[in-house]
Parts: sequence; C-alpha cells; structure tokens
Amino acid sequence: MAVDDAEIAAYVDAAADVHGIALMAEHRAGVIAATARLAAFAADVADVDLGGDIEVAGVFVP
Amino acid sequence: MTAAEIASAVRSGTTSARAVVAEALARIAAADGELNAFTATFAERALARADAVDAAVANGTEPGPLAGVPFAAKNLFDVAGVVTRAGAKVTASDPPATRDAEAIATLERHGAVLVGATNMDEFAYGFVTENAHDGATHNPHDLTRIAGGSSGGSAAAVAAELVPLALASDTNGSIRVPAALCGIFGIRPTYGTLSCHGAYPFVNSLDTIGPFARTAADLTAAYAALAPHFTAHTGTLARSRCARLGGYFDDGLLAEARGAVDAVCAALGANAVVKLAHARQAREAAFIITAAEAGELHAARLRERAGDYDPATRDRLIAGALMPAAWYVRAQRFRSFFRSEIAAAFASHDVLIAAATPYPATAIGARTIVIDGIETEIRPNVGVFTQPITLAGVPVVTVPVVERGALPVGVQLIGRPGSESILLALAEDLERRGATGAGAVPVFA
Repeated sequence: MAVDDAEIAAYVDAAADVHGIALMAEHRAGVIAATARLAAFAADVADVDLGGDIEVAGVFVP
Repeated sequence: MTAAEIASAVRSGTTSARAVVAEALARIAAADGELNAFTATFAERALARADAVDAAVANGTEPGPLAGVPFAAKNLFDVAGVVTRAGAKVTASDPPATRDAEAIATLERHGAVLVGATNMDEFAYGFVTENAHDGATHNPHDLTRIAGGSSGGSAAAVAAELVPLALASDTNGSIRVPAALCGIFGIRPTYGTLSCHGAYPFVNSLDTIGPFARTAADLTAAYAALAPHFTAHTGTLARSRCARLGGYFDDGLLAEARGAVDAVCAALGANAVVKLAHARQAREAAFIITAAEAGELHAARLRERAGDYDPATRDRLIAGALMPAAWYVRAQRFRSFFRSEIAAAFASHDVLIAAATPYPATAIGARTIVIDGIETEIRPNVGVFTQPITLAGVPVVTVPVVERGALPVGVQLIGRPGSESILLALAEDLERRGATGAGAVPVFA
C-alpha cells in the first residue's frame, strides 16, 4: 500500500478541514511528514498475516 | 543515602524526617540550576508532612516502611492545590488538582514525603525531555547531554541524588529510556497493575506508572508500597531460563549498548537467543496507537490552541487526530497477535533481555546520530527497543550498566505479565554481584 507524498498532503489538508483543525503554515509540513510516517508503518502492519479471526486487544488484558 | 537507609534512620529516631526533607530541599535548590530536573518544589507541604512522620515516630505509631523518604513526581501527577502541567503550556490555566494522584497518596501513606514536581516532554510524547516551555533537563553524568524522556526530570533527580525515589510514567519507554541514560533502576509494571488515577493520560491503552531508584532494593521497596498485592520473590532464581532477544533487538545499536547486554547476559548465564519475528511491526503498531489515542485526546485543544503546543509534539498530535480509524483498529488487532508471539517466547524462558536504548545519552539539541554508517534521527529512535515491548503489556525492569569514565546505558529485563517480583529479585541479584548498579555521578560527586 504505497502512498505518495502528494496523496498524503491532500489527505492531511482534507482531513484537517473535516476535523476543524486549522493547519498553520508552520505546522503543515510537520503534520504531513508525521502522517507519511504513520502511513508507512500502517502499511507494514497491514502486511502481517494475522492468521484468522484476531480481535482487537482488550484494553485491560496484558 | 538510600531510601532504605533514610527510612531506617527515621524509624529508629537517629534522624528526623524534617531534617532529611530539609536537606533534600537544600540539595535541590543548590543543584537544580544546572540540572533543570524540577519544575516546582513544595517545601511547606513537604515539611508539614515530615513533621507528621516525626510525630508518628515520637508517638510510637507505625510511620510506614518509607518513613521520611523524600521523593519527586513527574509533573503529570496531580498534587492537591497545584495545576497539573504535564509539561505543557495549554494546561497552565486549568484548575488546580483537588486531590493527590493515587500513586503520590499511596507513597505518602507509606511514610514517604513528596518534595517536588519534575520536568518532562510535553504530554509525555517524547524520549528526550527537551521541553519547549520548561527547557531541557541535563544528564547528571554529563550536563551537555539529554536525560532521556519523557520522565527525564524524575530520572535526573534520582541519578544526581537529589531524592532517592521518584515517580514517573511509561507509555512507550518513558521510564526505561531515562533510567538507562541516567544510569538508575526503573520499573514499567504489567499494564493495569498500578493505578494511573490522577496521572494526566497520554495513551490510555498503553499508559503505566512506576518508580525510579538508585538501588534495586529501593526500587523494590517503592514498588512494594505502590503495588497492592506485591510479595517479594523468595524462590530460586532460574538464571538458565533467561534468554537474549536477538534479531530486531540486535540491530542498530552502538557498542556501548551491546556491551551492556553482553555483560548482563553473561552474569545471568543467558546463552539462548530468542527472536520475536514481528518486533518491528510491534513498534510500528505502538507508534500508531499512540498517535491515534493521544491525537483524539487533544483534538479539541488543537482546534483552539495548536500554536501553544510544543512544536515537537504538536505536529504528531495533529497527525494522530486526523488518522484513518482503520490504521488504529488494525494496530490493536495486531497487538493481540503480538501478545501471542511474546507469550510463546515465555513458554521456554522466564526473562528476556534486551538493550533499553540503542546508544548512551546524546547531546542536547542533537538531531541525528550515525549508527553502522547510517545517519539516524535521534528523537523517534531512542525508544526503538522499548516500544515493541510496550505493545505486549508485560513488565520490564531496567538495570543500569555504568562503566567508570563512560556514559551509562541500560538493559531491559522483560518478564511475563505479573512477574515483577522475579524481575526485581534478579535486579537485586545482579546488583549484589556487581553486574549492575548506579555508580557515582561524576558531575555531582
């Protein structure tokens, strides 16, 4: 699931608008970079074969 | 003096809690200009509390096992009558806390005395304690270097012997990293074991709290006070059931960190090597869960006051607030999967061993470090070995390895859920045999 920088930037701008968070010029590049890192990590986690019906971890079960 | 020595002296009447607390406050006043470990001290409250301990001793009332022991708390813990800052500017106008955090109240019920609040990364979102509002905390072993984070103030205060104990929190490594870089002991308990009530939340499904100490025995004493059902380990320590974590945990670390792991493994006879096949993804999942939960927690304030956040945390919080839900849910499903993976490793071993950080403390303000010829960002990678373990929710004791003339490094002793007593007993055993220990702090010697 490769996502290019332009797609990330477009997503960040649109999502910030939806969430009512005004991205100031000095924030925008950092937010896009942080989102790109998360996207790369999410893609790597998504590639793991969880091997069946794995449920979300219970918060209070270590 | 250690916490054990102080408590013994106060309980026997050899010294008074007031004298001990007054001395701690004087040490803080003298040294903290250089360290910047504290953001507040509570002299009036502390001396009043010390007087109550002394009165108990005089009356023949049980003063508690930590009688008169001064301690500090990361400034995300509620202190009655004080605004809980959590290292932030946006919290400064919040109303003061109406009661003490559960952990502070518990330590004081056991006789300890809170003397101050300590510096941290804003909202605990960092590994360096270079706070844009409160400044950087300096490492007592080398004042030009970071103390680690996010509980850097608490760790530096203990390492510099300003207080023998301090409270901290660990979401992704915020106890384990500063313990390692400041050369002291710290424990991240099994997730859910210690109450986080009154501690400013960061990532609810990963947050834990725990103490720092300069000796393993003091760490055990502090943990025993905090944990409601703790009993010390009295059985045989099966060193042969300790294994080194290889693969992911054996890559990208400097010789100092590798050498510390070698030394601890040798002392424990840990010859076996275990690999967690999905450690990299475990770190990534912890990263995703952290961003999502912290971003959601701060979304309302980010809409109004994003400019008042520390730039080092702001952009990541906004990214987390905007993250697709599917990434978060997948990360939480992966978490279940990874718990099974680490449980399988514990089928044949009781304790897993890994470096706490890939390198010793870096220079304050440094952004990158070269490892194996590759320039690596410092801030996101200091916790590269603590974050995967976070995801499993298992307990970890970090033990310091301090060579004369060198910066300290730390080693994680990782156990099954609920095995804190074994880990603490191993730490005490290692300390007795000289394989670990806080050592002297040259700057403040």
